[in-house]
Amino acid sequence: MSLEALLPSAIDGLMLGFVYGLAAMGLTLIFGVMKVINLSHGPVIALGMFAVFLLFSSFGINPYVGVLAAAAIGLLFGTVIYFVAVDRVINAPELTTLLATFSVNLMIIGVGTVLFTTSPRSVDIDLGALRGSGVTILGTHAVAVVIAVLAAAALYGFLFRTRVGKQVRAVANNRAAAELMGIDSRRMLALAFGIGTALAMTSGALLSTLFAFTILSGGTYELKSFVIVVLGGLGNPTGALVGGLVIGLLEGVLTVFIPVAWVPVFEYLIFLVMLQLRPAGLLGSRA
Amino acid sequence: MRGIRLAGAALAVAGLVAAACGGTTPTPASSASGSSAPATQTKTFTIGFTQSQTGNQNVTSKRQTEGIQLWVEDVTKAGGIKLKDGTVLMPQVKFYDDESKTDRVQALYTRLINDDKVDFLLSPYSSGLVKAAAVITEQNGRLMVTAGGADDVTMEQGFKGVYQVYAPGSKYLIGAIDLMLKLDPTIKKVAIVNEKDSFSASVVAAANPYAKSKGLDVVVAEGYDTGTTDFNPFINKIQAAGPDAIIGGGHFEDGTTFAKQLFDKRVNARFVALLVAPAEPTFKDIGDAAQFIVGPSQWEPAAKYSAETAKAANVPYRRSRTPAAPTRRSCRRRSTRSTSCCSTAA
Repeated sequence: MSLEALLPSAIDGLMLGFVYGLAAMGLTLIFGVMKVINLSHGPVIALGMFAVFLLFSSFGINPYVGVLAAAAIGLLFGTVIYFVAVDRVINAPELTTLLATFSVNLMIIGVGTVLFTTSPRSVDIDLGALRGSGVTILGTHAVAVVIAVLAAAALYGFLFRTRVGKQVRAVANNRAAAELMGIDSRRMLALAFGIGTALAMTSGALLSTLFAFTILSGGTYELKSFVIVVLGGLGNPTGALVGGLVIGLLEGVLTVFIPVAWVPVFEYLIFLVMLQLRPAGLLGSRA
Repeated sequence: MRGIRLAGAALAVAGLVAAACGGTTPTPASSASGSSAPATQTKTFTIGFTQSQTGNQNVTSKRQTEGIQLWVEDVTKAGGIKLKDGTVLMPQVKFYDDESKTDRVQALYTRLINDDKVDFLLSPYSSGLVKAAAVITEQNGRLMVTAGGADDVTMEQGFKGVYQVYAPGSKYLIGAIDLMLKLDPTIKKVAIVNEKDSFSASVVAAANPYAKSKGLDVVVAEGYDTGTTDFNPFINKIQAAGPDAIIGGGHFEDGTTFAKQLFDKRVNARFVALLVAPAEPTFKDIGDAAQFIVGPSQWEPAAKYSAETAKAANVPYRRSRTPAAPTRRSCRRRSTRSTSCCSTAA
């Protein structure tokens, strides 16, 4: 295969990697703060897609305004999920919280299938493209990268520059000690779950501007998120972003040399190798 | 126009009922109702099938159901099917949403046979679902006409009660290659990218060697998973390989997305032929990206069927007392001037 495809493929992969990274940041934040493996992550990503789609198709709201709305809905919805499904089992073994979030997964998929069916939907938006030297950068992809970077920066600003963010980190580091310092850990855990869900819905909202989707589409990105989280470091949002870029780049570059169908095999191979050789991930866990 | 496009489904029903009236069906009409005029007995019969009202096949499957309903409407308006003994048969349909899922298809065909006790069975839309339904109809010793599946493999399973209306999938893109070489004999390099389902795989399994036999260089030959929405990896490969033509695709959703992304990336191919999607009227919703995409069709309203055209095509000519059905044709070209519709199976 000609190397002419290498540059455009690498650029496409990297751009998609930012969105992957954003999705994985939501998953890893929740795990890092409360040690909960959130199996409702995929359906929540799909809900982000449908939030934009419904606002756009029903009310004519610009998809990028819809992305903001999806983030706000995600924050609220995540908090509700926390209090309904996670809060009462937060101190139980990890398998219990895993099952709790899996039940949320099933409920969202069930209700979503009834409401939206499994028919593919798409948000029809065209922002033009930049072209040159065999490379085409679609406007929608470029905007998705910018929003993903802004969302990641906002998360860091929140976690490291605000008082509430520092409280969330304190709860993540040592919940008992944080409570002794007067921090309401329950509130912080709910907030962290809400932010994680908001990030997932934001990534879903961005993906809806790039590709067609169904209510089941989140599953693919949930699996990718797990690979990215392990690659970047469990509980480490920076690692998730880096992991997203690495997976995106790999997806883009590998497809030049091997059939596309083999790419997931390599992704899961990386997943296994990382778990065996460097379980803390590239950047270490919980930075 | 839509009526002609849906002729495939309507013809399937007509063929099925004609066969039934000839006494070849293993299950005679069971439900009788309606008024009985002097020397006339009116009976209803039910045709059962599933429709993909949701899921990946929903767009094209809906067209198939519309074709069947069109036929029912026409026959009802004409006063039913009159048999020689004076009996009048009035058709009705019974169908459910199979959600484009094989497990739903199998549950629903069991229900149609055992609970609803429908008189005749038509297939769901798409080859994968047809095969799933055929297992159930075979187990129950029932006859089923496949109205929306063209995969060759279906007819190689040893089913005894499954009859196919459409041309086999292996023929689908042969005409496209012939047309391409006729329009532009200078085309030398072709990329073949297809959905990895049994129908599309059977199409390209025939198209690939045929292209090579015509002296074409197949520079890309790859499959993509059902449900794929990001074709950029394929498109980057295609652009790098610099093919003169691209053929392949799969079904409506992926074909439409692929065509749109080919256009977005300004792929410089002189000929593009995709399965299923171009024949669907809503394909035009992707705007300029839909222009000049070729697709195979089973029935083509613009084709003439006469003694002269039959002779030219080297096919038998039979005069019919009924208006001639649209004739089968290998390909059509979509452009702003030609937006005629046709029927495709998958």
